[in-house]
Amino acid sequence: MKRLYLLLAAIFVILMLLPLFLDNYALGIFVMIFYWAYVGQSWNVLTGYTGHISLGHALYIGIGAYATTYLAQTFGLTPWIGMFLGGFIAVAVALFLGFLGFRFGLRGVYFVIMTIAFAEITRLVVSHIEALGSFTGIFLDFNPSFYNFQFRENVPYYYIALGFMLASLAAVRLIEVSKVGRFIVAIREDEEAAQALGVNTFKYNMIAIAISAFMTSLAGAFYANYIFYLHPNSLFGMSLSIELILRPIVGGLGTLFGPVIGSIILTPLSEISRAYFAKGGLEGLHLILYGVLTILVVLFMPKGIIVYVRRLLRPILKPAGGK
Amino acid sequence: MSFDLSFVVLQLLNGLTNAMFIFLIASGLSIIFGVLGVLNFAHGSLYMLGAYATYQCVSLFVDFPGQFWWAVIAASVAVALLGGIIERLLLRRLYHQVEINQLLLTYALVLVLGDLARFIWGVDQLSVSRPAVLRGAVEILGQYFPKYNVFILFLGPCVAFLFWFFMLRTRWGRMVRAAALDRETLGALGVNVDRLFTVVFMIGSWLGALGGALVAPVITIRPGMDVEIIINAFIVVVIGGLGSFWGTFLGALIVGPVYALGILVFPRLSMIFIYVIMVVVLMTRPWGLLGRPLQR
Repeated sequence: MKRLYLLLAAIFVILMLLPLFLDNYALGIFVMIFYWAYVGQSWNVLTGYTGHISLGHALYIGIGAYATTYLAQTFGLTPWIGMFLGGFIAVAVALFLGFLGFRFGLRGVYFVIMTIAFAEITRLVVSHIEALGSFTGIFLDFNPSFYNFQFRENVPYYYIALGFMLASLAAVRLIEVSKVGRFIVAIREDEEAAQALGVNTFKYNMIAIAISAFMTSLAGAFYANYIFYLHPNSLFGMSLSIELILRPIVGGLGTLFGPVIGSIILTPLSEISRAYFAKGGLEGLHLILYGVLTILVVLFMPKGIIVYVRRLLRPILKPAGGK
Repeated sequence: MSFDLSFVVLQLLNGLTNAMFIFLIASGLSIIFGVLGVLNFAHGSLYMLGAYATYQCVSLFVDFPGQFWWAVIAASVAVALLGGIIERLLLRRLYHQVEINQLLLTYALVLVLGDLARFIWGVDQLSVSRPAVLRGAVEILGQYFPKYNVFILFLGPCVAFLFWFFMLRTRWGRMVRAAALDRETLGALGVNVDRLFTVVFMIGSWLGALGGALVAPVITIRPGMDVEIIINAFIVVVIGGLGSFWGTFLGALIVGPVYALGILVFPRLSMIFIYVIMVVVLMTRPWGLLGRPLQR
């Protein structure tokens, strides 16, 4: 275990120093790696650990982005506070969805369709609210300052996104070792058995969906102030919901480092191929690439790439003689 | 806003026509789920390919009499074959995997097939003209209702009835129903379950593609129609009960008219009514109106 901590510490130091050596474009790719790892981790809390599949997590990103932006534009509230208010709205929506789903015992695909439907309803409603820019969306004004959560260079975004990702790792690790975490994993393995043993599965499912929604919505606040454009179709749409689950699945569902590993592999690929194909006038070809890659991973590495990473790291982390 | 009765009736008929289209598509989705246990996101893509293939065939068969009908048959059969290939090469390997991987694989197919369609047919809107015998309209209460829609209104129940007959009275139909209930026992009885699964997936794909082929003359064919329809089809099967054939029919009969009449009240937010119905159904009968509770 000691070697694992040494390795993690070394990676941390490298990541802290990286902006000294990289140009703005390369840093942007790292921002996206951290961002998607963070979002994937947030989704992982619900689906990876409880086993309840959400294909509507774009909903919480959208809520976070819109709430933060609306509060900033209307009341001048700093996104640093606004994102937490957005988080509470996301939690309220998630608890409502969770109440319907868990209370009425929706299983499997019924729960999945419910999550899709909630995101779609919200997309439709937001598309018709004038104050939220209706279907044309909202452009954010660019006023770089710490208060506004907006910056000229990628360096501050880099450290914020890195902080988000590390905080999510720490949070999920804390949940993993806590009593709550053990109950949640018990629910994933066998919900009825857990219930029979006296675990209040409804309560722990609700805790998991609330944490997951809160974390995801913070990512929305980051997204809004990094991209500067909010559009209901892209923020509440199903393609975002799927995009954000690819990384944890490719990396390893229900594992602490799965979303990070998935993001390290998929994000640069998607950024580079998107830019490459757009240059050749072939926008959208990256989707085929995505699709084929996903099919290959699902068919040949169903437990995720983390299995191979663990095997690779074993000789380094565990010298002869075991732990 | 004045509610002219004849206008409401016409809108109701339009809603019922749409219900028949949705029924064709959703019944394919439903039978695949009922037997294979896979919620197939790519079903919308097969529907879209059915529409594109019909466009292609209509322009290929331009010299034949009755070109539209030949095109519908050719396109839906071609897509059904594609479905068979997908089941054999990809889905088959996933039946023992966790649910999320199955969902993800079928969604990956949405991306691949969607992009392929864009390469072959471009991003422009395409259209197919109605077959010669069904051009024009009939007069109902002083309003004009297209003959083609009348034809669809009759075709939908016919397909439903034929399908029901197939499931109830034929050997294959019995095997399909048995596979939905207990595939292990069916296999132990000497039925080739692997082949049965392929056939069921092809039938489901054919129904989806048939929906796409028949809807081609009344909509514009364009990228994005795959994801749009799949969400509607999901809602219909959830309301009716996943895997339940008549449930799907009932679900479509509710969703089509409610959406069409909802437009009269909330022009742009009519979908909300559909979602509300779905949520109410899920709260009172989580397995759908005519479905069975899931064992898992």
